[in-house]
Amino acid sequence: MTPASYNPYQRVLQDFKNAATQITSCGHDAEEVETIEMIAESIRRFGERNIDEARIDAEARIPPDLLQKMAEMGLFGLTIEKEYGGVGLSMKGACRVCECLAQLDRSVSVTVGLHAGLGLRGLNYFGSQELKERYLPDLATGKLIAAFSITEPDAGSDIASVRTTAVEDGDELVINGSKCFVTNGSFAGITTIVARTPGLMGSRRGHSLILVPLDRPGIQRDKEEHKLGIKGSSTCSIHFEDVRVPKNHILGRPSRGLDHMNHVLSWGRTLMAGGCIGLAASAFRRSIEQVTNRRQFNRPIGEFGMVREMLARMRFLVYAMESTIRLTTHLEDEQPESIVWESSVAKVFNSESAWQVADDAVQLHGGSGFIEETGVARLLRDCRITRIFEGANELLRFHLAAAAYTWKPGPLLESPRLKPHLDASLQECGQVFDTILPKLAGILKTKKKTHGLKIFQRQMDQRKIADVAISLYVMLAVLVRAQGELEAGRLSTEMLLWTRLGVHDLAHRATSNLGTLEDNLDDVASQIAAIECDRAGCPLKETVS
Amino acid sequence: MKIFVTTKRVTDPDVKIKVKPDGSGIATEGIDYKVNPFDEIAVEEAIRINEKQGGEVVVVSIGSGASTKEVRSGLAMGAQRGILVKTDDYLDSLGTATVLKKIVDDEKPDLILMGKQAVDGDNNQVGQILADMLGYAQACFASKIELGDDQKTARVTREVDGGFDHVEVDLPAVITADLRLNEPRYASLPGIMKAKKKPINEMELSSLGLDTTPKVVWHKFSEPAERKAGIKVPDVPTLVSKLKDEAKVL
Ligand SMILES: Cc1cc2nc3c(=O)[nH]c(=O)nc-3n(C[C@H](O)[C@H](O)[C@H](O)COP(=O)(O)OP(=O)(O)OC[C@H]3O[C@@H](n4cnc5c(N)ncnc54)[C@H](O)[C@@H]3O)c2cc1C
Repeated sequence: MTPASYNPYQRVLQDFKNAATQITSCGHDAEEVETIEMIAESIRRFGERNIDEARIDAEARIPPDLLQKMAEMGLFGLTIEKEYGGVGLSMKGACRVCECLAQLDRSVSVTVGLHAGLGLRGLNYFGSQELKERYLPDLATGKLIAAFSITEPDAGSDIASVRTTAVEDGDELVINGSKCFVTNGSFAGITTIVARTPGLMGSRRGHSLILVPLDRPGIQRDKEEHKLGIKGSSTCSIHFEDVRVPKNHILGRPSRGLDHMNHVLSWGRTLMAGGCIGLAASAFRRSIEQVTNRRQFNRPIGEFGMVREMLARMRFLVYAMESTIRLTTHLEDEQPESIVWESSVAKVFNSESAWQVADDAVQLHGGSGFIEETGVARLLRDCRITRIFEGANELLRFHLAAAAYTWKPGPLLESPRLKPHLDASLQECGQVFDTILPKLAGILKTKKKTHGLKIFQRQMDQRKIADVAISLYVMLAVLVRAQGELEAGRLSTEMLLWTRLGVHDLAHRATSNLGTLEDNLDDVASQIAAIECDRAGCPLKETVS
Repeated sequence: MKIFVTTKRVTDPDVKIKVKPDGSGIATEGIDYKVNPFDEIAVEEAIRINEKQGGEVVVVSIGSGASTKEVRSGLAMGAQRGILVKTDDYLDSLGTATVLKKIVDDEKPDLILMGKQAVDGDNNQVGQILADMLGYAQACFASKIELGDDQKTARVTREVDGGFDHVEVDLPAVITADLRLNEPRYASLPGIMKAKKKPINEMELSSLGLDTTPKVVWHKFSEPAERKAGIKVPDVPTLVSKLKDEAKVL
């Protein structure tokens, strides 16, 4: 699927003009932009009248009448084609809507986002006509809500190790196993699962994606989990005991489940990263209110330099998150099934930036930030899960770096430069990117030469390489955006400031990681961890550093 | 019953606006636009009447090509079709009423619902002028509208200082909406999708052959003078003396 030479920067630079146009808008085309703006306005009002985030958090549920209203509003049809009664938004548009929802409440945005992304992507993309006709109309109206179940008690990050099985019996599959942490689990009417299906339809081994209606005999749901954040969303275990579904409920090709899931996950995590923008935007808005109203030492606290520094960081992070999502979704909308790498970058960067912004918001609120009534603590709690689910960030970094090792060094060193694409006012920033990218190429080459195949076991290197790659991708997104806005005559003075500070900050992160790739105490760190685990009675077999 | 309801695209009332440095107008860079909130109330009322009585709700707007969005948002709420008279020129209240009269003459609605004023210019005149031009009855600042059983009259409640004023008008009439008439619905996503297929009849103002030269001309815009910071006074006597001697309000 991914050619060895493929490198994401080159891909963007080769199609620069198109990307620069697309990145300036929140929808795929003018018509979609108008639709999305109308939806955004409607959602804002919907929220004002119906959503009480403090109550959702305190009661740890979305009140049933709110769920009903969300369905009537049509929120569950976001990603379902019009012919089946949905809105049929592009991935870019759907991300913008998730952002709007997350500004209002994260339990609501996760409920809708999971349904629209992970919950439906398998059926939407790999499902047969027959299955789509049968289920999508009810999924669009919210009569049925979708879930996605991969995780099992013994199979989390290591998805391939799932134990749930689906065995052929005539025209049916018989499913046995247990899934845990299923979002929307308590009220979902249907779920996509990943199960082992060795021997299925002649395949030798492998996994399959299967659509399972949850009204079948043999299904048992456990009680709700008690969570740190997004408390109003539903999370529970679901057990399958001799559950029968027709064989045509396999999504896509049998035994290609893990590949298919990569695609489904890239959709899910992108929508989730879209939601992170809304969370951060909300934290930022509250912080501005706070620093302009709160006075200490006879002045608004916004006057203090350290406070300004935080505000500036928050502002450009929100902008960078948005730019990253727009670039990534543009790529997916152009070329489906091609953003496994980019969506992982967007997920890692947006979840961590949102965390930073929410954390700054709490800090700027001082003691009252720590008090629940103020509401910013809830943002921080709600944010925490985004670094874990839909691929823990460490796992994603591992994959990001592993992919980087497969990029051909030639194109990476010679890849078309960014600077020539940019207006004179942006070229200094463009030069920063053009200087760092070859350094990444250089380090990849040296590491491969020094460590051979061991590079894939050297996770501490991989972590840093991933971080350099992430910084570069986000920097590229921000600069493509700046050029696009400039060409559209909309590059405001503020945007230029965010761009400059953003590029500077990202360059600093990249350079610092490049430095520690060469000069570090990773072996010491590895040793410390090994000693402690050993002392705890679990000697580590290999010191993977 | 055929109801006309007007919508205007206005600068977002929640955004702080700035005056252009040369004082020639409002700086539009980075400004968001919205449907005039009073117009939305009028649209809501029109749709509610329509849901009971049947017939047709037509959303009418005058403005730049971008105003299709505001027309479309009326359609998303449930109106059946739209009319947009396109112009980039500034129209004063008289000019606006002149255009609307032309459309009313062509379409002959049974009822015209409007917002009591647009929140950009805050003129509060178009409804009144239009009713006069058409020779129709007018009931402005409606907080309640009840149609007669024969649908030939409307009983309108207006909130006035210290109570309510009830007027009964013969239809066709012009009724303008006050804040408390209703709470406008938000459009559902299916409503927004349906609205895309509803017809909007767009026409150029210049093709209508009307004289809309403004009689009211804006000469200059300026920001309100900045308020000086307040002061704290130690006690009531100081306050009284300051109010008397410095502020000269006592
Ligand atoms: C609120 C909530 C909702 C969820 N919703 C769903 C859902 O709808 N459907 C679903 O299927 N699952 C869902 N999950 C499960 C979630 O996706 C998993 O928790 C997540 O993938 C991590 O798996 P794990 O919990 O088993 O952690 P583990 O796999 O045990 O990982 C623990 C930590 O170990 C480290 N780690 C693990 N592997 C590696 C590696 N290879 N390299 C480096 N570090 C590593 C990471 O730091 C990781 O965070 C949800 C979880 C929560 C809490």
